[in-house]
Amino acid sequence: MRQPPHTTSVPATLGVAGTWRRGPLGTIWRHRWPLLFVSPFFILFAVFALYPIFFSLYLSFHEWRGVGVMRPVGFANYTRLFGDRIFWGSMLNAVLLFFIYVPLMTFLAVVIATVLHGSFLKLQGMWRAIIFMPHLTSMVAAGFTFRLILDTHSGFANQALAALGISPVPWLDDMWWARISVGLLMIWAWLGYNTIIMLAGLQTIPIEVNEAASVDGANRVQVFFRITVPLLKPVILFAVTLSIIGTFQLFTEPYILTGGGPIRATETPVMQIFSSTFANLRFGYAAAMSYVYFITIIVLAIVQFKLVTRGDR
Amino acid sequence: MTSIAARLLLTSLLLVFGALSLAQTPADALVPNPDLHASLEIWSWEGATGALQAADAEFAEYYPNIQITYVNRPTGDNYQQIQLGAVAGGGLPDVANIENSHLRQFVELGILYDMTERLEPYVPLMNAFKWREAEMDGRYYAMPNDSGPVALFYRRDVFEQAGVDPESIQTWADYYEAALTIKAETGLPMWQQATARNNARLFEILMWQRGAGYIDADGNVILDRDERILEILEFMGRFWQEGLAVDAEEWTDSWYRNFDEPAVASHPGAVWMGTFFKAWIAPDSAGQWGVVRLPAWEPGGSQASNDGGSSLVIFEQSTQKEAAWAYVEFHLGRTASQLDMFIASDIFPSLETVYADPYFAEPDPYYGGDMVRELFTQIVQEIPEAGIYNVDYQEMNGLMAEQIQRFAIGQISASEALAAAAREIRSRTGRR
Amino acid sequence: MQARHGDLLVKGVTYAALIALSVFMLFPFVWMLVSSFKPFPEIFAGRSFLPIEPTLANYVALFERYDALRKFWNSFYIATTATALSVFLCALGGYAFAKFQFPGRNVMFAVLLASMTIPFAVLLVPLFVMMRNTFGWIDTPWPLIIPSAANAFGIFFMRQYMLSVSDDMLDAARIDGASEFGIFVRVVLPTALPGLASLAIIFFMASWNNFLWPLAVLRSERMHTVPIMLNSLQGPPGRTAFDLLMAGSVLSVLPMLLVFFFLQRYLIAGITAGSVKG
Repeated sequence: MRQPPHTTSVPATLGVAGTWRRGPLGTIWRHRWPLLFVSPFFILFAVFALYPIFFSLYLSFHEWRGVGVMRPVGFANYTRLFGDRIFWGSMLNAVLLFFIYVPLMTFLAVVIATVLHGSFLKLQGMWRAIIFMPHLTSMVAAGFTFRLILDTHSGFANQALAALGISPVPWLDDMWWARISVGLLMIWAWLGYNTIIMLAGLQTIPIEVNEAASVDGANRVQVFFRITVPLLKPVILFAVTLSIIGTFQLFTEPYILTGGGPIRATETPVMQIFSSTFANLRFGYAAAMSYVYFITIIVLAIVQFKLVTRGDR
Repeated sequence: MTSIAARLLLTSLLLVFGALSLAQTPADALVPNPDLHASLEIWSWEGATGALQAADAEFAEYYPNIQITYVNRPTGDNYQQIQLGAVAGGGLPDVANIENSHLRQFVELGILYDMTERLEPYVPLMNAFKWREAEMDGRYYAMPNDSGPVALFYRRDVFEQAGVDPESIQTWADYYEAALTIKAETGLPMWQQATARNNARLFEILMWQRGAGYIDADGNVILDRDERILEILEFMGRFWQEGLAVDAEEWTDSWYRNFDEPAVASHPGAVWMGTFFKAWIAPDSAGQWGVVRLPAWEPGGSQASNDGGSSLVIFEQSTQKEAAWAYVEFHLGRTASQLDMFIASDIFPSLETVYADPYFAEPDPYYGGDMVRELFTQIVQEIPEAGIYNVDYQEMNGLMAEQIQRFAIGQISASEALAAAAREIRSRTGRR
Repeated sequence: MQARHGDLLVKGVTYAALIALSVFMLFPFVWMLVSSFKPFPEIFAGRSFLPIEPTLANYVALFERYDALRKFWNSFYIATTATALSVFLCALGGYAFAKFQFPGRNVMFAVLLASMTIPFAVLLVPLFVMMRNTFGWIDTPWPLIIPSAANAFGIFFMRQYMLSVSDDMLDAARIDGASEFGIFVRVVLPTALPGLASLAIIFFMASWNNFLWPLAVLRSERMHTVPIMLNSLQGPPGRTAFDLLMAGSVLSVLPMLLVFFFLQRYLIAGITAGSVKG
């Protein structure tokens, strides 16, 4: 006799209690342990993520100064938001920052990982450690340190340039240089992390592939571009997706390094949401902002994913 | 008049005069009160706390059982923390020192203790313009601490070298001419104004001087409707365009060094700049700085303005309001306290009864013996009404500063800057 | 490992590039350290690399005037509590997803993955309001510990790891009559120790360096964590105390560097495992 899966046979004498054991409650009881084990996540998720998301939506249709009365304003926050030059400027800044440092950083990560992976190198662990160290630093500490180093008048960077005969660069005082400076800080902090990811990816490529190519007469560079990189594509995609999300969530680095300036050149969407909430006390507007921001990120991530995987064999 | 009558008249006059000078303010008549027990937390910032502490020793004699703890933070942080406290319903201190520029938003949040009955006797005794932000619907929520009368600080050595007589600068046109001369003779710029990091404070000082501002008396934005404001911004522009300004951000190391070296000839600023000069910006430059009134915009026009100044508030959340009021009244309402604070720090008292003290008639050695204190007492009483400080000041200042930055680096014209700022301020604050 | 036939030139260039890169990576640390021993005027004078008049005054000032010890303690106990709780709950959840079949498992896992795309900024405002109105947790360490206690990344990570735990061992324990929870504590956890260590380091580091959320919810000075203390050393008005800042930065980086040097293996293994698709 065939039994349906995941049921236990029930003694006829249990009567009503027996029926209970066959229904949905019974299923839950049978799987009580795994369900119990995953419940902390879902409870916390419901309370601290799901509910706030809906509450935020509710807030975005009101005007509220954080204390006192919440005034319903319909879509007013959203209409104002679509014409808000400063908010969209911050979104543009995130895009600009992305292109300033992510391609370079990802490329460097792949190259360095390849070099480290190649076994002719001594002291692999040491190089790996050095490249990874910046990632451990609090971005607050790193931001202040970079601010000192990049100071236009007395920072070490310009002094070093002066020794080479190059005139001082307005690292933090010019709109574009400030963006580059933030990019520099990001590369410093995240290159190690990305390199580790690439290393992990390289370790899944069989050695035979590279060896076969070398035997065929390809030199290192050709092997790199024609074989290694394409095989690493999934890992690169993963790293770039992380970078997109990371760039759009930037707060601490520009907050400390440039304060969002000069002239808002390095102000990011999260900084706008933060200041709308805590500096200007416009909670409803900030909630609307965070929703538009959220949807934009999702759209961007999907677009990026589709663009890159479209050309997959 | 018979001699007896004359003597009687004289005596009664003396008594009246004596009574007036003895009990100038209610706080002057305070007696020690050891029965008040409390432990007060006061939020402020470094320079300002130093001033308040000058009166603490005497305060401890009058109120031996009130403990005081100061918490110092950068001003912006304090305001954020106060907002957080308001929003989170807890964690506010008993007393806070708040710049008048940011005071109004806290008054309107409804988190301040209504001190109307206690403050009424002081209203006529303090600078009139200081009460604007503190008063709402006839009720008073803050007590003026210090004021920021503005004057022109100048470097004697630089002016001498260029052959410019500071007294000859009567209008801003004169100032501009002097700037050209100084540039030609000494190569030095006339003032420090950041370009890409400008904070709009000088712009606000100049607007205040003319009785203009972000808004008019009805709260409407007038940045792009008042010709005088355009004139101000274009005037500032000339200094950047013609190399008469040095690009340094306020409160940075380069800014301090330019004052000290000197690498700049003058500085239109408030009296409290002197505090910082003497303390750590240019303490070795004693005797090298002088002070004259701001140049006027037209001959005979206003030569007074204000920048900054603060007030003390008590929070409604506080459970120690009696002791908090004792602290506030003792420090701000008592002539001797405010005098001590001024002597220790150059933080300029809003309490007008202090100005009668002989200390104000003395020359100030740091300024080469100029009668600077007296000058500021005169300036402070000429400060016009202006629509600068208001409930949305923080946003207005941020939006205006950004446009000034674009103007300063040459991206847009002055009228475009004002138009853009006005448009954004109207949109963000819901004004016309 | 086979030696590759490399060009001497290629090797030389490679080493040179790596050295240059290392200088770039290490220089800020060195600068931080060197500056922390300089008195304030020297930091901006830019006259020499090493301090002309080395001093410990910056460090002393941090502890005397800014109560740095308390801030370090705050950072430490918040990070430790959050890490311990999170690692335990994530191991629990990861184990369940890895080793059990239960109805709705795939859907739940998909929800878990999707939840990782929610950026924190979207939750900032409502969470803050909830902390105040519903929980009264403003100015307490709880907002930094509870909401992320069982988080998606940790569960995803542990699940990867748990997949490799031997089923036979688990079945044997069940036959012996152990309870599921007992099995988890006595069999699974010890086996998964390396993975737990990796996750613990990642969580500890994240909590130690966290800035935005603590900045929002910790208000009174005695509750501050180290990054917030550093931030509060800024002017205006008055000058940004870069001398104290550099000293504070060195101190804040030191614990993480120590952890790294001793437990490097686990940290790198953790990131590696997290990025390999399961």
